Amino acid sequence: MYETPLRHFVNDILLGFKNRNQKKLRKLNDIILKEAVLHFTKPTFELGVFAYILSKLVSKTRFLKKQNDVKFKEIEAILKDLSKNIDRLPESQCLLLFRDLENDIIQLEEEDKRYITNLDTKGRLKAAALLYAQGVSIGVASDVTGINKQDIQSYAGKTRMFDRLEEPISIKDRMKIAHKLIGG
Amino acid sequence: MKIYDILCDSSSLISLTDSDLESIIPFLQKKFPIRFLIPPSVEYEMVTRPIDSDLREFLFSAFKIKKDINNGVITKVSLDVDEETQKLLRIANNIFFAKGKPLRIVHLGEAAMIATAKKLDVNTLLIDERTTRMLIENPFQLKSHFENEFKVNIMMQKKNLNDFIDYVRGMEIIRSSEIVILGYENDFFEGYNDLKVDALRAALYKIKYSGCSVSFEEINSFIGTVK
Repeated sequence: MYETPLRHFVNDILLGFKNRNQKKLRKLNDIILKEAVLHFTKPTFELGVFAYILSKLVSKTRFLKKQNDVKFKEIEAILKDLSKNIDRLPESQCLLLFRDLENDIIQLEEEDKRYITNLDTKGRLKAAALLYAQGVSIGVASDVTGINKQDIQSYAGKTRMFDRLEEPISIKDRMKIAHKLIGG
Repeated sequence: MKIYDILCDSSSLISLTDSDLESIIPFLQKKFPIRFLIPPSVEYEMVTRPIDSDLREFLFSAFKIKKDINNGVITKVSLDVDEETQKLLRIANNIFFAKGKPLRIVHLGEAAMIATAKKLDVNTLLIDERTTRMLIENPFQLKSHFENEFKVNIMMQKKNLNDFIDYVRGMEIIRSSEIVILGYENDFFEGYNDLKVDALRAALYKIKYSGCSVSFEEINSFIGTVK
């Protein structure tokens, strides 16, 4: 069967998750989010976010305990379901599968809640900041990930993203604009 | 007396409140005839939503801005710009093309901000957000940035690019970093006495960490010129 890019991504995520391969999942997170900006579909963004979240799940020993095996199997089952249906189902139904995935992950964290921000929100925040760094506006990044602008801005401010691009106008020239404001 | 207007987006108010530097706004307003304007979308993002949704982390910032609106320090302007906003959104999101598909880079709120500025004939904008600012100031630099990020050729649709450039012609942008410097030049940091240049540098770092798109290099080279 022809494997579309989306299905290919799901299969790669499934493989990475089954093999508990954090590196592979992180790499997929980068690749998929780039594709998401170019193709702009909600399922692509969601896949990018979940590649990150799952990379975190497989890297923390607290999640890899025997008692979580059932939940891990459930996650694998949802990914298999997604692989089968991601190209066939309407987007709204596809997104329901992502919500199932989200619920499973939230339940895993409920067992051992350590942070105010859960893994799902953290994954979305990182994705939003990456999208902003890649060049989409903070409003678009907020819209597609569901993360507040305030959170994205605060996160982005602590990265090097504003140091990587030369400013089109110097502070000195911007101050000339500012001085006009005070009648100077 | 001529009153100077500046239209603020949410990103600049986020940086200022998060850095506890929002008091520069009333400080400057007491000294100069400046009106700090916001469209309703900014009030919604900064005040209404955090309060109504009980977003605990942002509640204090929301109340600080609400206080400034209530005290007339920040002026809300309500205009019907829906049609213009949609038109601008369509243009802005059909300038850059990758693999034959348009890059959706601008959001409704950002387009509404530009449309509001145009309708009000306000030429000075306060924007900390990088993408919208670069799109207005240098879309070709944004194109290069996309090409570096995505490693694909980015095509620019000439008509939409020209329409956008025509639309924003005359608009000038400052960031909250320049507002902080303006405050410094007008004695906002006077209480720091011989530490006031250090305080300015620290305030600029803080505003950067709060998300103002200013680089360390810009800050450091500017501080080097301050007497």
